[in-house]
Amino acid sequence: AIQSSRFSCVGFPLAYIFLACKKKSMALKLKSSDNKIFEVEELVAVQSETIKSLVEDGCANNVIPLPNVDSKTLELVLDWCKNHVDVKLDEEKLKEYEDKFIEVDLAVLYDLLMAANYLNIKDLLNRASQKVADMLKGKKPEQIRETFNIVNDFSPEEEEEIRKENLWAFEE
Amino acid sequence: MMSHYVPLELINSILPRLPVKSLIRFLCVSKEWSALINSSNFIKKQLNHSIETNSDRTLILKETYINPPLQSRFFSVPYFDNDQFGKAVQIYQPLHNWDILDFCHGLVCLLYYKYKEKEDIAIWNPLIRKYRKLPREPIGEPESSYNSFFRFGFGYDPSNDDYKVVRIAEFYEGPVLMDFFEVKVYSLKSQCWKKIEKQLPIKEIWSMQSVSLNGAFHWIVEQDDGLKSILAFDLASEKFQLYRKPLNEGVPISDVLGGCLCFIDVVDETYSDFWLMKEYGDESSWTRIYKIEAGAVPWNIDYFKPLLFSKNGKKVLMEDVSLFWYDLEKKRGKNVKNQSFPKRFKTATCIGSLLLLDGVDDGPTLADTAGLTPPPYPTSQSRPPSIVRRFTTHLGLVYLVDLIRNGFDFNTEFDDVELGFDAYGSVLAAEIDAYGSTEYKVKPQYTRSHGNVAQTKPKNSQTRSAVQRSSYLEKIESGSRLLSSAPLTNGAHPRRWSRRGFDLSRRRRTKYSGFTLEELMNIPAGRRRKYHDDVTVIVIMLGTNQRTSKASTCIDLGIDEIAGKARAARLAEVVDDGIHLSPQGAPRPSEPSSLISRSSPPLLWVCLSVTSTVDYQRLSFERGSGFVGFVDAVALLVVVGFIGVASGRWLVIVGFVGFVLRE
Repeated sequence: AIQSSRFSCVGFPLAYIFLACKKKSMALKLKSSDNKIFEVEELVAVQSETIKSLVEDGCANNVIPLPNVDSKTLELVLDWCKNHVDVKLDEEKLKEYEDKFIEVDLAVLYDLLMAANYLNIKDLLNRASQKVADMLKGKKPEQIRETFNIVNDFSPEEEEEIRKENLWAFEE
Repeated sequence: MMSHYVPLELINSILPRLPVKSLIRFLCVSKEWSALINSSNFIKKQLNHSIETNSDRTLILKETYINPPLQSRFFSVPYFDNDQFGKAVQIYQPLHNWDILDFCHGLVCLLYYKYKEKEDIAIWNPLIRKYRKLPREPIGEPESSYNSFFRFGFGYDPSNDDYKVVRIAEFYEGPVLMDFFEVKVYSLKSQCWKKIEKQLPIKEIWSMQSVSLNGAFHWIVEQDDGLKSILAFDLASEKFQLYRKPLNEGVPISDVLGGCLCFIDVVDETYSDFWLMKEYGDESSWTRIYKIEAGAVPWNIDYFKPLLFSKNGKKVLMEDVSLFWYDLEKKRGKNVKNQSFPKRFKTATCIGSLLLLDGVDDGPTLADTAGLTPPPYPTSQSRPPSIVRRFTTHLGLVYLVDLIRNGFDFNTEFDDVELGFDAYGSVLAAEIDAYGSTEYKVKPQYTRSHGNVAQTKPKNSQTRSAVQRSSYLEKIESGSRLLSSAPLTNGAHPRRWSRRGFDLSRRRRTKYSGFTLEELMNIPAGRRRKYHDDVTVIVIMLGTNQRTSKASTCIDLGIDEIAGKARAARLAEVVDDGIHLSPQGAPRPSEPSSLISRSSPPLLWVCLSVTSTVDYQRLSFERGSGFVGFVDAVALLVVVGFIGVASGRWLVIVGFVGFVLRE
């Protein structure tokens, strides 16, 4: 009998705190560019500085439209956020998760990068930038132009000049 | 392929994460990219990223063989996060025969010095292969000075975001260091020199090299009251400040490690103490980090330059003439084994940086700037590797060696450096300098090993086996190593040694007041002594069972024929006989021209010959006639006696001649 009463003494306040937290972390509704609605906890969503400022300004009562992010990417981004919301997650596991998360093809990576930039999620942006950088590392200028859809505005002579000056950088 | 438009803002956050080689390649992607990569903001961002993540971490190794001297190669070695080193790859050096002076943020400061030429400084970014040569800056010499001497430093000035080279000129009035220094600072941003009007609050600078940290340069100096401390020169405020150093017993050296000022105390042959100033500027924060005791490393205790901490902070990468890890817990040193490394080198650590992107390219076409190409070295193949130079300290010595090897030219007024080394590559250095004072140095360690060799040496040089030859090589190497370390470890006269090495200005003195042999000979014999500065010393060290007759005859020859080059060639021959490894090697030009014939047993000898002619009158430095000879004779006896005792051999002095002065 003594034991059970002790349990209830601890249990009630705990439950109360738990409920209070739950209540505070209310759900937000995010709408992707293809009009899908995602319901997420506020704690997860506010990792995006963009959403955070909306919430702080009190504009988050209705559905938040995210016209620059499609549903596929948003799902990934939210998954990232969910895994980063619990700060106590041990570092090794988090790293493992991040490594796995970022192993995507260039198109998806590009979308993630743009989304991270738009939603202003620092750690995701860093991770994605690093990944893109790793992928660009060994590429030739032609491939870079193709990848980023860049028009070469150098005249052939100008380009030749730059290449000549730094011939060593073009060697394998 | 994504084929999407990516805003420049994002590109800007991606590109700094790329290695510099890729960035250089991407310069030709588009004008926008080129402008972005070239912008100073981007360069700074990239550098900060490199510093944070240690990306592109590379060691630049400069091979320190001087033989043949024109081929000191540079290598780059990737240094990975797991404290492993990649393969050393030879890289283009911007200019030939330059030496590493210092390095910072991916920039390497190079010093070029050649006898009878002005020194030059260049700043080089080896990873993007660009460099910039600094404009030469005249010195404002006080009138009474006849001799000056530079010390250089290179470092980063964070408050102006600039890289600077500092040059301190010391002046000598006669043999005395003047109480006046000229300080000039070069800024990479403004690309010009600026004079610092403030005077140094010190008597003398001890350090060879400045240490750059926190926007200040540091030297170990002696104050007027004889106290030694650390002098800091702040680049932003252009003020000098003195810091107390920890107590020490040996040769004090300052350096930088892990972003802290450190202080190394080398107590000859016994131990080397290492202190770190944990809080910059706080004299009470000196902490002893480690102490390397004799036996902890498989070689002599010496000044080991600390380069960096390992990732876990438990080991320190140090440089001797190669690299080793010193384990702070186990107190043991372990060589870095890498087949691709050159045998001996000087190291600079670099990170990927785009600084100097606007510098000159160092393609092979530009490397041979006229006037800087060293003269061809005719018989390089037949010459054994012998003397190794680690740092510019040895330039003087190197010159002498070069002179001896290439034949003396008595029109070269060579002054002051006197050096001998024997068949085992050991160094017996003696100096009898312009003022009759003497310094000598025989490393005890070395003489021991030398004694061993002497015992095992076969009497007939022609029966030398390959094994013995290789032990010869070893000895030469160990000797060379000692030579390369000598100036820093000589506890008795560290200052003199260090000055010697850096004493670029001696040649200025000769330029000012020196005579060529011809000119000297035109002076009436009775008056020559007045102009004479030095003596020619030929010491031949013989084993007890060696024939001496030949040698002495030869010396007679040497004395009688002062006709310049002919004799010089002979001296060169002696040198060759002394250290030539393979008797079957290159054929001698002609037998009689050899001072000591090759059939005679390998001799040890010390051959010093230096002629320097100084007009004492011009120095207003009168000296009684006969004085030079007397002092020098005593000095020589002391030297030879010392060498004899140390090596446990008989020495025969065969010649001691103030040769230009025989009146």
